[in-house]
Amino acid sequence: MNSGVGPFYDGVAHFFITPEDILIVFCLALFGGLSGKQASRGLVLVLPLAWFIGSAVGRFSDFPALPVFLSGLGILVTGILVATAPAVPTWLPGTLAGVLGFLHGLMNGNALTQSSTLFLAAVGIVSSLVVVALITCAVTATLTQNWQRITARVLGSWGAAIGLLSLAWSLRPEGP
Amino acid sequence: MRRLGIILLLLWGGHLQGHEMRPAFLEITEVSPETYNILWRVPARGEARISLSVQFVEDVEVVSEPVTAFSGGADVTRWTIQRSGGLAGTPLRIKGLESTYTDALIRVSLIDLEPQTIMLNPENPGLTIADKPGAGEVAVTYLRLGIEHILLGVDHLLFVLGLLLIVDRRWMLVKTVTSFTIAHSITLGLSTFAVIQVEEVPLNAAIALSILFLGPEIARKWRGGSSFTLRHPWIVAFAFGLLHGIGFASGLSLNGVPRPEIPAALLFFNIGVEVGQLAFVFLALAVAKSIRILELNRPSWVLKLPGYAVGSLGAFWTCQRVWPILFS
Amino acid sequence: MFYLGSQSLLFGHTDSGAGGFTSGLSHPVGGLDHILAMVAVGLWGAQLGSPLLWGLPIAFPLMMAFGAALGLMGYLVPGVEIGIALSGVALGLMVLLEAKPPRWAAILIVGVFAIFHGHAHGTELPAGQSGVLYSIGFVISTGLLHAAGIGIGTVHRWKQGKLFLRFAGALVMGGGIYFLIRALG
Repeated sequence: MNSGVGPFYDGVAHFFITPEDILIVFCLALFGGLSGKQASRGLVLVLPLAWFIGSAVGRFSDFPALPVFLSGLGILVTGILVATAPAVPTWLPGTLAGVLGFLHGLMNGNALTQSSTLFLAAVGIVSSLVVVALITCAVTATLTQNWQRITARVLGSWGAAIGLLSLAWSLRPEGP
Repeated sequence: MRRLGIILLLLWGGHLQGHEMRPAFLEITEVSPETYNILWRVPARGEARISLSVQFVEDVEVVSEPVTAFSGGADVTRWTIQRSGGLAGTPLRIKGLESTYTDALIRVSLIDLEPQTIMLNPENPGLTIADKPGAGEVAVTYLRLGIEHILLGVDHLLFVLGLLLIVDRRWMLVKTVTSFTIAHSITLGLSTFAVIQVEEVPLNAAIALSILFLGPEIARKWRGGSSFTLRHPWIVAFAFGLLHGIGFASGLSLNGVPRPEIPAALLFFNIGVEVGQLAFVFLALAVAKSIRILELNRPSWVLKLPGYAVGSLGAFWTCQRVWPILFS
Repeated sequence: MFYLGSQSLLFGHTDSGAGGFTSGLSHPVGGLDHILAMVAVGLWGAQLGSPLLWGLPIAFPLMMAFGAALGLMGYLVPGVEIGIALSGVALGLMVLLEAKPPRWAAILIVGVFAIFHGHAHGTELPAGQSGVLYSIGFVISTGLLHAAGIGIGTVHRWKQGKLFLRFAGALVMGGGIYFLIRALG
């Protein structure tokens, strides 16, 4: 019996094998979590919404394909924000998540054009990232010990380093 | 005796629509040194056939020509081949597998060696027949099959979710999940050994009913009511677990696994199911906890969504599955 | 019974992608000169204590990524092999002397050497592999080597431990000198 949720799992699988997507969600969630519960709430709500809209725009409109280096740049910026953990207004993590979520959603939408059931695939992707973002935000937001927050910031710096490397990778002379 | 470059057995017909999940089954048995009996079973549904064929190494000789018969919902083809030097270390490929959604279970029994069982899938349609089969291969194959079976079995997961929603104390949760596990392990074993046999259609209807059953109980819990199920969720979990276990068996018993390997396969399939189920439970609990930490539960209807999902999907599936029983 | 088969995406990707990840992961571990320097950063951080304890392991991967980026973009950094060998000598010496320079100086020392290490990795990167996965493996592996150094460095709180760390510093320095001679010769 076919329940019709197969494409949903395609979406889930697509998310977990796309390192850029996991990284950006993870870094954004660290940023949100370090900025507090209110910022996390905004982020957890805005990120999936923007991602979903981005997928729809990428699939159904003639929105031009964005250059690949933007995803590396996004990871670099978010990673640096996590590593430096500046005091930011509570709306910033959510806004950043909105922009970057839209961007990555757009890339997903472009990549998944073959799938006839893009809706369910997008739901699968968005559900997976909500789970990752939610848990990461909640864990990070509850870190009280200094060394725990530092561990989160070190992870952010790793994210920044990875972002910088993949940025250079996509800009290198031989092409991406 | 005719020398064939490639043995191609085209089981003709169009592709099946949708996802065909019953795996194909290939058995290679070395009957005397360098001579092999081949059994090739391809599931069929009605007139539809999947085009799959077995492709051996080039210098294989056919001793007896393939004979195909239809039995047990599948096309079963038997033939005999020979190869000087034997098949060990040679490649084997299931042609056509990459364009299906089907898996293929391969069992190779060579003289003096333990039989090896390997699962092939569309991404991985070929293998090399091993000289020395890896000890853990059966275990890994069935462990994976078990995990996949539970994670792709949305109805089972929804039932587990329903249980999570009516139990809130930790100790009771452990008790409930454990009794569900014990119950479905029992019936999984019994139906694998064909002690119990249930028709698939009424079984699926009953499984859908078990999910529907939880819907009103969840609503009752919201209203602060009480019932036998809410007081003793583990008994209900046990009772319905028996049902779901028979369901799990459908992912295993159709494979046509040879008898000597059944206990190990069954054990690891069951372990796989438990691993997948526990992963789901922990994920669900982690998400729920995260929502509480981030105080995302402000509009109270948000918390009720999963409950409504369990109830309404249960109702939908029940209708969908009972309808054909009543009106056909 | 619901049973859906849609692992198609999953397995298709992991096959090709894992190559990038594992090769990124194994790359920094591949050369003893790299390992020595990275462990030494952890050791030195442990001697210096907070905030450099974690400041150095943040600076190193970032600057290393910067160096690798230079390598990828085709910018040449002169004397990479010598720089890497020198980093072993210098970092080993710092650990041996239990040197406590000002914070900015410590970060500068580590950062400059990190560029050499990163550059080597950036130019040695095998073609045709997944860039992001390689980067992830590469950074995680570097971070774990620092963590190993910090882990060893926890013996710093005991008197014999301090001595042991200095001895380890001397070993790193010896290794650095060996690689320096090889790079020059």
